[in-house]
Amino acid sequence: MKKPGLLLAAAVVIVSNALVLFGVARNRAGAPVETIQLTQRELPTGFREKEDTGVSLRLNWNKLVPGRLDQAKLESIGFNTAAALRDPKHQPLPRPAFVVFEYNGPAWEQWVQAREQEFSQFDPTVLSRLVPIDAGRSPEPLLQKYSDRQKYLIVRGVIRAFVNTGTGSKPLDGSVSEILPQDIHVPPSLASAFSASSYTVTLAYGHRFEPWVIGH
Amino acid sequence: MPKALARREAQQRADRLRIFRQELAELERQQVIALSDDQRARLEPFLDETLKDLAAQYDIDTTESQKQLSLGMRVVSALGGLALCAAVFLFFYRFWGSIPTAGQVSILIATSLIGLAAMYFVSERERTLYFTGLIGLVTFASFGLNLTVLGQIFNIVPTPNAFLAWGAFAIVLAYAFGLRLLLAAGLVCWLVFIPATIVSWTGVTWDSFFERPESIIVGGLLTVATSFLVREDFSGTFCLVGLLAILFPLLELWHYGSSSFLPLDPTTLERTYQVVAFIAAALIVWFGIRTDQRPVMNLGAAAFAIFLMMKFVDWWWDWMPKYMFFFIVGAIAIGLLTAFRKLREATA
Repeated sequence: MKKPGLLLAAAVVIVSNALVLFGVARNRAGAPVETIQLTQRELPTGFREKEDTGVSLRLNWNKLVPGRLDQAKLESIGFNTAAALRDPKHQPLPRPAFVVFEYNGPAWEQWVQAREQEFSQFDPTVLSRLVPIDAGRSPEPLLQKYSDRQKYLIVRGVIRAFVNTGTGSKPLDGSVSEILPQDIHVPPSLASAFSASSYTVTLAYGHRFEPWVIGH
Repeated sequence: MPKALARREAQQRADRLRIFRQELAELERQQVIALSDDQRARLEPFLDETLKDLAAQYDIDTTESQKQLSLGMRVVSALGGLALCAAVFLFFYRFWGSIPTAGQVSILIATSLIGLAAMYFVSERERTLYFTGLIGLVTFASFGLNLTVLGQIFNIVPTPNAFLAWGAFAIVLAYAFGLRLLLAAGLVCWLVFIPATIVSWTGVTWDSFFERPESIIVGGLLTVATSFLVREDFSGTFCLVGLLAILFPLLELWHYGSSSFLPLDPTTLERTYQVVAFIAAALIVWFGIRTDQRPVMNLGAAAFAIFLMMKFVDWWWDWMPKYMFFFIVGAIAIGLLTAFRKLREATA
């Protein structure tokens, strides 16, 4: 029992790792689906403990800009909005989706202009310029609709829907709650570039919409 | 017969022999019985030889002080296992940044495989399996770290499938060496995988299964049902882990009916699940008594007491003076003790 059990356990280790590495190879095979250049504003280095020698970047989007996921969009992602509105006590669970972020585009500029008129001391130079503008169940229609790869970034994410039980203008609202994956590992060969206070990062996304750093 | 089971049975026999010897001495002291010199000359060497053989063959405890030391060794091996897991994790954490990616992947895979080889090597040289169990825990943690860090290195979107692999790994090792702690760890992994898969079928994110506790109950029921099919020394672990996976979600549904899959009024659901929780706890007590599994019976009794206490709080805490609340709880406890005492006398 001992030897066959150990061999089976070793097989579990080898097969699991092989499946993961096969998935990685599939994701990175051929040309990347997306390549975009971002800065430390959108990809700051992640929090590091004193003894942590690894480097990772955290993909940040601007959460201050109001979300644009209306009821029709939430329905297209799979939310049962009628049931949610009928029974607000049963809040709908978050759903995975593909999210479109506009980078340094009109949505960001309009929001900055509005803030500058409102606050004289407003400084937007540290904020992320990635703004969520659309979402969908599958990536293909989004890749077609938002074809400018330097302006739009399509990633896997999580959408939450909220029923406004108060006196809000919209009865139902949706927003991006998470990007998957949000932390992006930096290979040791590229890690030294990220100790500077400002940098640019070239990020690629493969066929499974899993990112990797290809340059800085 | 599995090694762990044989050892347990050997321990039970040694305990019986030890108690028999003590009881015989007491009966002789009270002059209830008196062995002849011939009988004593045959009995004493027999008892000594049997205990010696059992100790030599299975490394069991033949005295009370040995048993206490063994318990201490079990606690130390569990704590040592945890400390070694932390050491492995922090070691990688400290030197990770200076190792190239191919080296990182190789180290991650090799650590789990070296752990397996170490388990085999150590198990061949000990009968108690304390060190094997300790290395087993470290190996399980290494495999956990392996898939987690591999996912981080290649920025992979997390899936519940990792829990399937971790569970399979731990359960295979548990069966190979008869290690119940690893078995429990493996079952917990599968109790994440099953509900995560169920909720992901409904189109929501897999990690939101905590917000639909009924999916965990399904996993718990499957685990309890499996306890009837597995080998004898593992059925208790299957049963206890499964029952915990039923009771904790019931506790959540007790308070948050809105987290149910069922599209009904949350208050109605909460009341329904409160009744279900009481019935489940009572059934667990009954099942524990019927199958002579004391831990199961204790779990059911503890759950019943907690549910009862929670109901008392719901009913009385807000409007009753606190001293009166605790007085009533104490009085009910005395009433229950009296009832149990009468039941005990009736079944004696």
